[in-house]
Amino acid sequence: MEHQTNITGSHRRVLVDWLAQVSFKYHLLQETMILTVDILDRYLQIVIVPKPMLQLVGLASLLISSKVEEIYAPSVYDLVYISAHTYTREEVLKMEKTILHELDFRILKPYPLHFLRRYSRLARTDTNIHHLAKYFIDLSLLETETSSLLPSKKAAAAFILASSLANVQLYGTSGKKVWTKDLVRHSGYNFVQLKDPVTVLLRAMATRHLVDNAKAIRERYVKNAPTEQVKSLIKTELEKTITAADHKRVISIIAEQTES
Amino acid sequence: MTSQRYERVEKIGEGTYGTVFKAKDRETGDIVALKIVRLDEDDEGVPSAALREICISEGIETSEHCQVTVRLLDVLHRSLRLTMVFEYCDQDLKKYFDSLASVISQKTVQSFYYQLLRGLAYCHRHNIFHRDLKPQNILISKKGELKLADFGLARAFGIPVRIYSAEVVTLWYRPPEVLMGAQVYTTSIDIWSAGCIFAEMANSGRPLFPGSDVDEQLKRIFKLVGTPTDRTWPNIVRLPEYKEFPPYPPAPFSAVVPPLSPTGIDLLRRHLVSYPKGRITAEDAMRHEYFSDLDDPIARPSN
Repeated sequence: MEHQTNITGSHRRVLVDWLAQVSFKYHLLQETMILTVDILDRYLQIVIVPKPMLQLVGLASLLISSKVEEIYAPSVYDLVYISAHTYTREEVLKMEKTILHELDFRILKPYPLHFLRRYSRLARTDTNIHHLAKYFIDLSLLETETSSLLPSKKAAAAFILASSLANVQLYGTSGKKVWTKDLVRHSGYNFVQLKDPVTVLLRAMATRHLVDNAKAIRERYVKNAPTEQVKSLIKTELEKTITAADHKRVISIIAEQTES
Repeated sequence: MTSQRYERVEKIGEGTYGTVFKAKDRETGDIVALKIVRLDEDDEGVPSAALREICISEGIETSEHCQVTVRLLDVLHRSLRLTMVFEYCDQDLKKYFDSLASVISQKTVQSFYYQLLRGLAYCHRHNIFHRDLKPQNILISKKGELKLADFGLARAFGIPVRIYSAEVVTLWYRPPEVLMGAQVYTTSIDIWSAGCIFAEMANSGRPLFPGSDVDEQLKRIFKLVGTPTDRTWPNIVRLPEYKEFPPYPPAPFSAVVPPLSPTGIDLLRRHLVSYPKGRITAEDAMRHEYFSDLDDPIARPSN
């Protein structure tokens, strides 16, 4: 993002939350959303985009990822419509072509969600923790700092954060081990290797901008919460709790709950 | 531009989407296959099947091992046309069957099937499932190498199983769970199709389950492998399009595939299990006793 002369992290944040809103409106998969942001970021890494074109890049990224992931992708007309006809269908299609060309059609990759499902299964996690971890993965899309994390590490960080928070705030089992020997063995990561990703994710969660900009994502996770407990936890703007907390302290608490 | 670098020789066929031509690369002199997709101006841009096929082929090519799938050499994206340039193979398995003058040698079956499994094992290891395996999508090079092609339906979740007409979408290689509307499935879907193709190869090109509609397809399957019950297939009744069938007992496989050796029959039986989780994996199938005397250098180059 540094080389982008016109686009700031805040422009990107607004765009990503808007794309999340669109993907909820069209009932798209979380995979589609993750891939959209991945395509967007990779395009922004190679091409300088003038600010008025940023939304167009986002729309075309969404079109491409929908075609890859969805059974029924939203139509180009839908995308033109939700952008309030800011762009024409020709512009969207031309941008689709440009992105595919620039990325050399290399757009498939594993998602954090794939790894998270595996971790949740191994740990026999309940739906509250899994929901929270998915929420953190979606929130992390708003912050460029987290986009360089490996999907497997990002998922592990989200899992650790979600489990620790749930243990403290929902179950009163704060001493409970989170990153168990089983998870270490199957993921190939011990806590020392995950400390940086957890810190990066925590720091991203705690940005004020994120708290202000994650409206659509938060609303969605409140609406789809599997239980009232986790619903109210997300509603209370969980991210603010994290903001208030001293990072080092959170990390050390999590470390205590984690077997290396 | 397409017409400048690649000189069309002849039309080979109509794919799931797009037309396939045999062509000559004027720069290298190589023969290639062009898959051309017309993009209409009022259309949705790159069709998703083409997009998936290109992305998957690109993904496969980044790994060194690329003999098992048809190589994508180039993509030309013009305003109204998307052209995929693939390596050319002389024929597909369907045409190979049609051209057979007499019965196929069981040594050829063994070599072909081993290569098919190797291709599948490779894809499955890379989390790709083909989902549309059939003889038309399996190509054979002059050297007798077998390669998987047509990844247009590969990978994404859930085939839209709307059947427009029997000619367009063949049901013959579909596993029972897909025929009964399963939304979530795994690599075992390809194993079922592979098993059907294995039997078809051994029978010199006679399809194993040539059903004409979903009901008849399932009936043909169950008459051979036995009608599944809740005991042999837990929760089968919960499938979206579950239907009750008469309780057919399993029939002897040897009567259906007479040319196949007893170890071949055993391997086939491990593919054609209605319950998806009961099916063998491609990796395990490659280690099956049936292949113990495999000596084709193309199928097993290291030996």
